[in-house]
Amino acid sequence: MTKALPLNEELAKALIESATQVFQKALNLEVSSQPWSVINAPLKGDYSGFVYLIDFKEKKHVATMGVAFMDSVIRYILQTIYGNTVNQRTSATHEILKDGIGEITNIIYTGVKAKLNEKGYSFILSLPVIVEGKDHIIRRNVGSRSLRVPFLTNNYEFFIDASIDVNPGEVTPEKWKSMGINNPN
Amino acid sequence: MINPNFAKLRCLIVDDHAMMRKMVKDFLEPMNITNLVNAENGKVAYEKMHLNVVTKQPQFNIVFLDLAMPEVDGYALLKQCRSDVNYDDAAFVIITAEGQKDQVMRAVKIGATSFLNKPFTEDEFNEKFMKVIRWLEERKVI
Repeated sequence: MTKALPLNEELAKALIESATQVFQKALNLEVSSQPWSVINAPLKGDYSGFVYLIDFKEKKHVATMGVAFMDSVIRYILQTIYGNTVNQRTSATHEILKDGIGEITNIIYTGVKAKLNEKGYSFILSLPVIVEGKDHIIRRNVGSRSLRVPFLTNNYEFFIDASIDVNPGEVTPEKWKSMGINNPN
Repeated sequence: MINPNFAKLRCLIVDDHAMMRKMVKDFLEPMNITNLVNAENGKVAYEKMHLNVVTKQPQFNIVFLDLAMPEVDGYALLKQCRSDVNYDDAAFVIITAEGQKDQVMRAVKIGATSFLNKPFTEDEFNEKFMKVIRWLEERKVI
C-alpha cells in the first residue's frame, strides 16, 4: 500500500520550490513565498488552474492541486512574456490568460509530482483544468483540508495549494483519457 | 552565437500551450531564426511536416516537441516520423517539465535528438540549441 500524502513541511517545500523555480526561471519574476497554512477554505480567484494527482499504483485520485490569481495579478505576471498585450480586454487576450495559467499550472505541479515521487510516491497528473470567472471559488470535497501557500510578486498576491481527498476516489484506466492522461506508463 | 546559417533554419514548434510556443519563438528570433511554424498538437504538426514531403518543400530542421498534448501526443509524432526516412534529418528537441526522466528516456529511445526541461532560462535554451546545431552539422544538414 502506498503511503498517504500528508499536508506537512515536505509537501509545502515541494510546492514552494517548484512554484518559485517556474516564476523565476520561465517568467523572470521575483516571487516570495509567505508562511503556509493548512486550512479548510475554498481557493478563490478570477482565473485558476488545477490538476488531479493520481496514485498510479492504487489507481486512486488522492489530491487536487491548484493555483489561483486575481485578474490584475495574472495580467502582471504574463506581461513578462506578452508585454502590454495582456492588458487589453479582448477575447484573444482572454485566451492568452487561460493558456498561460494552464501552462503555469502544468509546469509547477509536474515539478511537485517529481519531487514527491523522489520520496517514494507513484503519482501521475491529469492535464490542467482552467476555471475562470470573477471571484470564483474552487470547493473541494466535504471535510478535505488544503495546504495553502501565498506568494507575493511586486506586491501582487496569488495562491497555490494542495488539497488531499478525504475519501480517495478510484480512477480506472478508462477514466485516464478523460483526464488528459494518454500515457500513464 | 549568431551564425549566418541560422537564417536558413526551418523550425517547427509543437506545443498545446501558446505561452511555451511564444517563449521558444522569443529565444530563437534574436539568433536570426525567423522561419518558424507553430502546431498545437502532434496531428497538426504531422500534417505540416507531411505537406513538406508531398510538395517537395525543405523539411523542418528542428522540431521543438512537447510530449503531453491532447489529440496526438509527442511520442506518437516522434514514433511516426522516426519510422519514415523523409524525416531522418530533422532534429527533435523534447520539451518536458522537470523531473520526467522516464519520459525523456522513452523519447530518446524512440529517436529524440535532445531534450529541454521546463522551466528553462534563455541560457539553458541556447546551450541545448547549440548541441542540436552540432548534431545537424555532423549530418551536414546545415
